[in-house]
Amino acid sequence: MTVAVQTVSSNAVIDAILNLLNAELATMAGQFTAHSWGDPEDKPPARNYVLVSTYRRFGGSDRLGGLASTSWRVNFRAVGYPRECHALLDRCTRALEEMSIVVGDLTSTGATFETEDPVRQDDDQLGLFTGLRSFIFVL
Amino acid sequence: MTLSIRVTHTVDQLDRDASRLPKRFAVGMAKVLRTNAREGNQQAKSYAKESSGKHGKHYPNAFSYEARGPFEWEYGPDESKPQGGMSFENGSVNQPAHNDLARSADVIGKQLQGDVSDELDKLFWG
Repeated sequence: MTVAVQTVSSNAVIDAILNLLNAELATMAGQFTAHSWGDPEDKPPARNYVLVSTYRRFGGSDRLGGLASTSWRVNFRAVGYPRECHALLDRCTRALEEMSIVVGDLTSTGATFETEDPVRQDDDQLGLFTGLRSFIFVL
Repeated sequence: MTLSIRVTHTVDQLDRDASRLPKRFAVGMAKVLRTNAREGNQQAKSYAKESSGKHGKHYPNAFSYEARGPFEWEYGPDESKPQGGMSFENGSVNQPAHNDLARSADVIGKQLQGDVSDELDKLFWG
């Protein structure tokens, strides 16, 4: 039996996640936005924003015996004043946790919390705080 | 010519074998965990070599593994070593997460799962 495995690009995955996060952040009072890490055309504001990056997981999918590159990790880092930083992490978590990510005609498993880097003062930008959360899913 | 083999088991033998299982399991699992911790550390260190760049040239050498208990090991950058405390794993405002440990765990997690299963099999069939 031949099993066709459809794969997607990192850009498509990160666009789908940014859409989810920005839809949630738009419901907050104030200007809060999520941006793709390292994209020069998607520059974040000075504070109170979220940076998103995605990675393929080398272990692959359990469903396919660990052979396919269909497992993903998404990291999102909130940057801002302490209260806003916590709020951004919580709202992004609400947008992602147990939610399926749709890319084209593919729908992921529910995103599962993996780990967290607690909110702390940023080393380089005085007065700003930052924290990170990581989720994993299979697409 | 006919060859016949007759094997006889008794409840006493079963009892004797069963009483040895905890010790055999402890010895085998300790070895499995030590091996996986060492391999996980090697993998994470390799990823760190790729991702740390010139400004983190000492970071990969900060990786080590150590026992925290008979069945608990940890590996990763040691803060007491040069650059061991750098925020590469989860990144920072100025750099994305490197995920060196997370990537190694993706591989080692699956391997450890298989090794534990094999070790349990060995108790009864090995």
